[in-house]
Amino acid sequence: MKTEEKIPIKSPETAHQIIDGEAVIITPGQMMVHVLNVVGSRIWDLADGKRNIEDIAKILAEEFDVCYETARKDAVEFTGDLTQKEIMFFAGVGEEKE
Amino acid sequence: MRTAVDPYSRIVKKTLDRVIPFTVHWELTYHCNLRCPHCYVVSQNSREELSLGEIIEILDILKEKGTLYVIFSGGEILTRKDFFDIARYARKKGFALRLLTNGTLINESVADGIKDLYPLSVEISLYGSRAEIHDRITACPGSFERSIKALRFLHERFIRTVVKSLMMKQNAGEFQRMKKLAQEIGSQFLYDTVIIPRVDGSMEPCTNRLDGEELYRLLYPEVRDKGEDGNSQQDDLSCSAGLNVLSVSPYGDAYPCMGFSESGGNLTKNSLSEIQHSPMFSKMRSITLSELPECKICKFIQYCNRCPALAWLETGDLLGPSQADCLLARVIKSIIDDKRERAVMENQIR
Repeated sequence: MKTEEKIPIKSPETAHQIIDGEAVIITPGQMMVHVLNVVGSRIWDLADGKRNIEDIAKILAEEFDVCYETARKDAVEFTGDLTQKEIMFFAGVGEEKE
Repeated sequence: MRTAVDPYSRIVKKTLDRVIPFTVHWELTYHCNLRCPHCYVVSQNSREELSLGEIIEILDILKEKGTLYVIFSGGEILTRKDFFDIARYARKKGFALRLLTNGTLINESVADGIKDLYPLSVEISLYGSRAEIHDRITACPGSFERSIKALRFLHERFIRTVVKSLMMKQNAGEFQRMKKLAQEIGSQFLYDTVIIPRVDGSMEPCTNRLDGEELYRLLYPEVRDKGEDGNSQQDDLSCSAGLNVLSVSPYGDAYPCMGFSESGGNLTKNSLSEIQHSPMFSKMRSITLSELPECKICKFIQYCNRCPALAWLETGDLLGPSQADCLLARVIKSIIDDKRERAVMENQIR
């Protein structure tokens, strides 16, 4: 599967809220709090288990007025970071996308 | 792209400044299977508690308005047959849950259900290190054994548990044993010494409060000398009730905190904004130390964690002192003074 086709999903363990554009994420198991910056928060918000990285990057490019490649790089880097920390995981393309 | 824990306090400040209900303490029901004499709850039998549908609507509003933490308490939350429907919905919305329960209804299957909720903590009330004491307070034989079993079931499932206790005349001698028991089980131990009056103004539960001498004996090993400033009371009184904290009754009435009997409105009828701009909420937010005629000149203020709701319940005066808080501040000051004196004497002997 290409990286762009991966579908990021919020881990069901997390609790989260967006305050003034910034996502606050709690992982109860680790008792950790994470605060994401505005771009990271938007990616978190868009990770609804239906959109893949390409879909998210297209929205980011439009909303933050950056080229698609920059947005894609951000989305890949960010989702990769959060999956490593088990705050997010990737679903298979056929599993979640409608 | 990701920033770590540090900016969290900035977010919390934002919720205070903008009156965002970041934490909601929700009493889901006043029904309880125990009969503790210190309980402040007064059930209004003529009123219907919120239905699942109403609760879901309110949870949707809270998500939209910025709530992250939801503390479910009661009564006993597990007496609601739809408790797991409520809690699962709350988790689906992304709320961070703390569950306050007496634990007596938690068997292995319920513990499995709780595990799937990924709560921040399950906090179980315990009033003794043995059944004889605890069951006498709860007026329910067998309750101690069931609460302890619940703690063990939860611990086996790697769920963070907290043993919460209220220290009073009936169990003051149990304090150290309870701490040890909690440690053995793998729970955090939290305690309070202030019994609050019933929300209808009855002072009956307060007859179980510890007196000054009993408090001194109990707290002596616990109080740490933090230097000349003591607990350094701040001018904002460090009370977030009505700012980023909101309390909800089983009927949907909203309060700055659970200690108040005057609500700011009902979440099934009033908007959150109407409630937050109600006289009670506005008054709570406006209080500063300079407005408190007795507290502002009190020599124990730096040892005091004044609770406005307690003052309100005890005297009907939001700006007055609370008997219980005053006593506690005096006892803490006395312990710190005695410990300092003892340290000086020990140094002299050396």
